[in-house]
Formats: sequence, structure tokens, C-alpha cells
Amino acid sequence: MSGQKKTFSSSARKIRKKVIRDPSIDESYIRIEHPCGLLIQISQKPFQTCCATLRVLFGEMHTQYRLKGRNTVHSIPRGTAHFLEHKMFEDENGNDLFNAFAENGGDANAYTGWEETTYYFSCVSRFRENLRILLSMVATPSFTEESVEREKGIIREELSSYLDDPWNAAFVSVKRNLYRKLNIRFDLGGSERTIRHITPACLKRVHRLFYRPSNMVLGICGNPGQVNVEEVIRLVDEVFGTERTPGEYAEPVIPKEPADILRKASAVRGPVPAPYLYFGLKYTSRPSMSREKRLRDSLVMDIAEDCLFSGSSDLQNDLLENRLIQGTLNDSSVFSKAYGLLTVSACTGQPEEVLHRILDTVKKALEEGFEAEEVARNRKAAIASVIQSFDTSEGVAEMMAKYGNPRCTVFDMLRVYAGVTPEECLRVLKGTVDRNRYTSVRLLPSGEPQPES
Amino acid sequence: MLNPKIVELPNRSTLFYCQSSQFKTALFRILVPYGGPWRSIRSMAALHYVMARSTEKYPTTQALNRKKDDLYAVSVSPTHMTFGTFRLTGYTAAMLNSHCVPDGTDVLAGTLDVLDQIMHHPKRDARGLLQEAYVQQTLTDMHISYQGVASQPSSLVRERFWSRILKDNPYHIMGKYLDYAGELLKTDASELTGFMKENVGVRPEIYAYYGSASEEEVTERILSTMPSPDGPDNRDLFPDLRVIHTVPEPEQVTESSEFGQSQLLFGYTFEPELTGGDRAAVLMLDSILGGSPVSKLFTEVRERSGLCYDIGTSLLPSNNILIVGCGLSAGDIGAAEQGIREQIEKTASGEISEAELVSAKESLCFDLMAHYDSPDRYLDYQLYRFLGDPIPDIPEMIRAISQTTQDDVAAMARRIRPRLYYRLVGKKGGDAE
Repeated sequence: MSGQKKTFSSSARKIRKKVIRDPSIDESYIRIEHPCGLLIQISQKPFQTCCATLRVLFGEMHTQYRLKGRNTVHSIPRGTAHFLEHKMFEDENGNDLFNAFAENGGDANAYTGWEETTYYFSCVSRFRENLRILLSMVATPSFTEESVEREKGIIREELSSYLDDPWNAAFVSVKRNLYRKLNIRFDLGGSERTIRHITPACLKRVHRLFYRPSNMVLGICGNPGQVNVEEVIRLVDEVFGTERTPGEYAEPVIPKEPADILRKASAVRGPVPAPYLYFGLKYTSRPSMSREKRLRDSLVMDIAEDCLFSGSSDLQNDLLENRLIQGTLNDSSVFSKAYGLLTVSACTGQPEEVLHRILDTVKKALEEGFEAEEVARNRKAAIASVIQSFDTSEGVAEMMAKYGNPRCTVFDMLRVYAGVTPEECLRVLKGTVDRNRYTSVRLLPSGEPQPES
Repeated sequence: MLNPKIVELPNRSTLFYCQSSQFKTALFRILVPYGGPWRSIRSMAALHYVMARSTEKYPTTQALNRKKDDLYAVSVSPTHMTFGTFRLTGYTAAMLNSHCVPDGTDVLAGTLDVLDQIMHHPKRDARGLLQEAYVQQTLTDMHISYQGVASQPSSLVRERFWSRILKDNPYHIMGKYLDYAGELLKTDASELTGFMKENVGVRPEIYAYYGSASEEEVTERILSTMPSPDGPDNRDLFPDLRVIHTVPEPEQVTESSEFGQSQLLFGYTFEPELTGGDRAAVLMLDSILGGSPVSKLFTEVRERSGLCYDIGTSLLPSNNILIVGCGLSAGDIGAAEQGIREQIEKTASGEISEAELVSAKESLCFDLMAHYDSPDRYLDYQLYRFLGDPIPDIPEMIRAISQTTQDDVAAMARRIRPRLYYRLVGKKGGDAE
């Protein structure tokens, strides 16, 4: 499905650019490998709004690192990536950069994930000015003692709001039961205790090591009147330089997570109106798998998971018909280099029976595979969902920033989904799931007696 | 730019038709208005049940979802449309939204088929559909969902806030979720059946289409699939909930909670009450005071004073109310309240910088222009206008905002009257001052 790719040169010097097309959905984008190391992907589409998304491959999971060529492992406090994200919106004079965006009609924000931090803005005019602000703020942030201390108060309040969320507490409990080493077993953003140790020096060091252009991807979508490819390249030249800068390079050290799990069951309480069951399955981690293979397998797993747990699945129907759950079954999953996790949750007064049926569904799939009709239907739904992502500038910019692998492009997602077979679903499921590596967490209304585990 | 068209159909319904090939997905929407005892939560339960669970052809959620996936539909989402349960005129409708990928499948016909089954069958033969087990399950679902407002401080504070402000209004839903949760379990199938027969599919409907099919094709599909509603329009069944009035003395309420974080929710009305002509100025006031990360409240109370993570305003211009909300530690309540008061006073006295004015204009104009990139948002805007919200069309609104001055914003701020100071004090961070 991925169409013609060609390389051509920028006006001033050789810059590797490729136009990647998919005639079947009439879409294309330009992939630019800037000499400073930044990967830029641009889609020009006739939207009113333009959007740029800068993805930095540094997240909350990365609390240990090693300088390239050295053996010493250095640690940084949990919550540092999230703290950096907060502080990035301030310039060296203490000015809030939200103001700079706003004065140029830009609506900016950011979020921190376990493996990356993402900054973005949207605007209808002055795209160039807004892009300059975005690139400059991540290239040259400012951290003073006073502003860092003030930010701790703000972040403490943010973390406090997570603690008041009973569903979040149950989700964290699932991760604590499954993981021994990885940071994902904690709340994202660190804790009151860990952020106390964050200092301007720590932030500066981490920024220098991980906010390098070669550790970022810039995705852009907008109309050609606003988004000019050569202008974008010139801006990147100005902010990041025309070539890679020398200096220390660091790589994150991800602790080796044991395959087994910590505990099979636990319970938490909160002000919920009815009991809930949270089911977690620890996927087999395969860090040595190639990026293309991992992306492909993750897409196949999307279809497999939908067959098993989505609104059209037999399991969900069975649970509803037999009045075992209230509302719907909710599922989510992660399939990354560092870890893989499936969670399924439901409001239920019969958690043991629901757990039994979930496990039975997984067992049956592993033994008997998937029905062709089921896979075909979920394939269609997945393709429709990708196609819809091309209908907003934010959606396209996000895809541009997320899918930077030259051997597995945005359009390859459609190709992979279209070719998923029941046999492939079974193969990937078998390679990913050990049905004994599960946990269940019961979220009980406050005051309800603790069940025997 | 779009050229929307409002078409009066021979079956007394209205079609919002937007032809555009800009998007890869087409949007089709239907609103089935219902009146009568709509304010009874039981009527909502009936709608919820019928749309989400049961029809003759698609007897369960699974069947509906399978139909959706087979259609390449990104979503076919039946919802209870609360257009007006609180805002605007009280217009209440069941809504079904369908986003489809037109790829050669006859998506429009397929969607209409689903719609027909979901929306119209109950009126004609509800007895065969309302199986007791499903009804109970639906009511229990809603019961749990309504009780869920007490599960987090941010939703609990809203429930308590609205129950105070709207205590004399018999029609509203907000602030009564916890009360209604108990009522739901007293409802039975025959009550729901009766309600649906009297109300659903009786009044002229509203359709909206946004995609590349021709007007003739869309019209023909609708008329060949959907029956003609045979009841009266009965707009008077939709009570006017519009305005929340000013009171001589603001109410002060402080309650404690089991949560860690404290929540403030302050309600302000405008005097004289807001009219359609005030819309640009009041939107500017909202934006400058608390509607963005560059607003006065965000900048001063969060960024400079570091008192909270979450602070901002929300404006319901059709209801004459502006709300300031803030999540913080109990020990910071006094300082935050002082900060909120000061920023309102500064705005009213005209302390509005040129940069604040420009930022607010840019932000609001961006938001309005972004409607053209979202069929859903665009149709919402147009439907609100159609149903009585006195707002100009998007280009006129952009012009009005561009012409708003500092004096206009300050004058609007001087019309602010405190109505309710509600504090939900959590356990974290010491005693409230």
C-alpha cells in the first residue's frame, strides 16, 4: 500500500527527504532526516488548523541511564520527565511561554508518558512563529531554584488529585501486582517524596542528555499556505543547528523485569458505588525484537484483543446476557519495547465468575485460535479508525510524530491491518501471552468487608 | 468554507445538509425529540435502554457493534442527548451519531437501517422489546453511573454546587443524580413502555449529514427509510431553563469530604442578565479571567502563587452563569479565594493588558475556526443556533470578538454578582482558613 518513495535534495544542501504516498486513501507526507538528527514528517492538508507535535523519546520510565561508552549507571528521581515537561514552558527570563503561543494564536500543551514526552500546538495562522516558540523552548529551557521550588507545589496538587481517583488506584494496584522492577508500577509523575529531590542541576543534566534532536520526532500537519517545508527546515537549522552537535550521549537503562509476577490478587477500597474487577495480564517482554516486527505484532495484537474483549466480542455479550457485569467491559493494552500489559475491567458483583470467564476466553483463544469472521470484522473496524485519524490536523500530526520508522510508515498500519489473519493472531498471541501471568484486583466500595483472597 | 443548508423535508423533519469531500469519514446524525415527563429520570432510562440494548433486529449491544464494524463505521453511538436538560431551551432528544468510512459499502443505507430499528420500532411495538431482564440491567447501569458522581472530588463538588443553585428549578437534572439514582430502581418495564409510546418518534426529527453524498441521495434515503412522525411539534413541552437569576446575598457553603484534595466552585451571575448581544464580550471575559493557560487566574493563582494545579472558569452564557473552579490543599483555600477575588476586581477595574486582550481574541477566533475542521463541532454549533441559542454564525462571531475592547470586557466584569461560594474541604493540607 505504501506508494512511491523518492529522494530529492533541498535547495541549499543535501537533506534526505522522501515523499511517502498511499494512493488507495489519497494521502501523502514528506519524511525529512535533518542533519542535526531530528526526524521531521510533514503532511500538507487543507485544514483550517495547523498542528505540530514534538515527541521526545524520554519518559517517566527512564530513571536510570548510562553515558555512552561508560558502565556507571546513574539514577534520577521518579517524576523528572513529568517535571521537565512542566518547566519547559518557561523561558530564561521567567516568562510563561503559554503567553507567547497565545499572542500568536497558538493553543499549546504537553503530556508525559512512560516512554516519551509530547509537546504540541495548534493554530490557524502564524504557524512559523508558533513552531519557532515550540522548538526554542525545548532547545533552551530555563531552570531557576525559585521556579523549580514553586513548580513542586503545583505538581504536588496534581499528584494529590490522582490519589483521590479510586479507579486509578485499582489500575496502579494491577501494575504493582505484576511488576517488580519497572517504574510503571507507580503513579506517573512520581510522588511528593521523589519530587523533593528534583533540582535545577538535575533538570539541566537530564535535558542536555535526552532532549537531543536525534532523540526527537517532529510531526506537522497543516495547509500549504501555512506549512512550508523549506521554512520548517530553516527553522530547525536556526534552533538546533545544521549538524549534530558533539557532546555526551546517554542511553536509558531499563531494569530487567522478571517474567513472573508478584501476586495473583489484591483489593483496594474507594468511594465507588459498586464493586469493580480489574484484570491484568503481563505480556512476554521481548526487547531484542526489531522495531518493525514489534510494530507489526502490536497491530496484530490490537485485532486479537478486540476479538476477545471489544463490544462485539462473545465474552462481552456473554457477560451482559448473564448479567454478570454492569455497563461494559473495558480493555486497554500496551505493547512496547520495555513492557507489554493488558488490562480488562468491569463493574461486577461476581468478580470470581467474571475472572473465570476472562481466563477461559484467553485459554480458548490460545487453544482453538480465532474465527475468520471475527478477525475480518475487527480488521474493518481498525482500518476505519486509522482512516478517521486523517480527518483532523491533530490526529495527523500525532501520527507523523509517532510513526517515524522508515520501514514501517503510517500507511503500513493500514497494510498490516488489512492483512491480519486468524493464524497470525494466534501466532502473536501465543508468543505474547502466558495465561498464568495474570493478576486480579477488586475495587470495593469504602466500608465493604475485605474479601478472602 | 462550508455552505450548510437547512432543508425542510416532506415528513416534517429537518435536515442539516453539509456537502464536503474534505473528510474521509461521513457523519450522519439523528435527533429524536421527546417531551412530556422528560424531566423524570425514568424517561431517560427508557431511552437509554432502548438505544443501547434492545431492538428486534439487533437484540443486543453485540449485534449493534457487529453491524457497526461490518459497515466500516468508526462509531455508531446512540446517546441520550442532553441538549437543553440544562442549557438552552430544554429541548431534549435521543441522538444517534454515526461516523462511517465511505468505501463502497452502502454506509448511509446501513446506518439508516440501524437507526430505523433503534429509533422507531419501540414506538410501534414496545411490548415485544422491553424484556424485564434488560430493563433491570439498564436501570442498574444507570443507578451505578449516577452514584458514581460521588466517587471523585471534582464530580462530587459539581453535584453539590448545582443542587444548591438549581434547588428551585423542578426541571433540571444536574445536581440531582444522587437522588435520581434511588428512583431508578423503582421503575418498571411497563412505565418505560408507556413513556416511549407516548413520546419517542412522535415529534418532527432533526437529521444532519456531513459528507460527499448529494442532497437528493441523502433526502431520498431518509424518506424511504424513516416514517413520518405523526404527533405535534409541542415545543412547549420543552421548558425554558435558560436563566439563573441573581440573588441579593451570595450563599456561603463549606462542607467536608473524605477525599484528600479540596475543591472550590464559585458561581457568579450577571446583572443585567446576559443577552445574545453580550456574547462576544462575555466570551472574552471568560477567556481573560480563567479560560486558558494564559488567563489571570491560571497565571496568578497557579503559576505565580503555586497554590493549585487545576484552576479555571467555565461559562454557560445561555444560563447567565460563570463558574470558577479550583482543586487545592485545604490550607491554601484562603489565599486562593483572595487571589480569585483580586483577579475579578482587577478585570472589572480595567486592568487588562493589550497582550491579554490579543491572546483572548486569538484563542477564541482559533476555537471558532477549528469548528470548520470538525463536522461534529460544526453541527453542534449550528444545532444550538437552530434550537434557539441567540448566537451569530461563526464569521459574524469572529468579527464581533475582533472588535471587542478592554472597556467592553471590564464593563462585563462589573456585571458579575456572586451567587454561591461552595467549598468542599478535603483532608490534605491542614485546616481551611
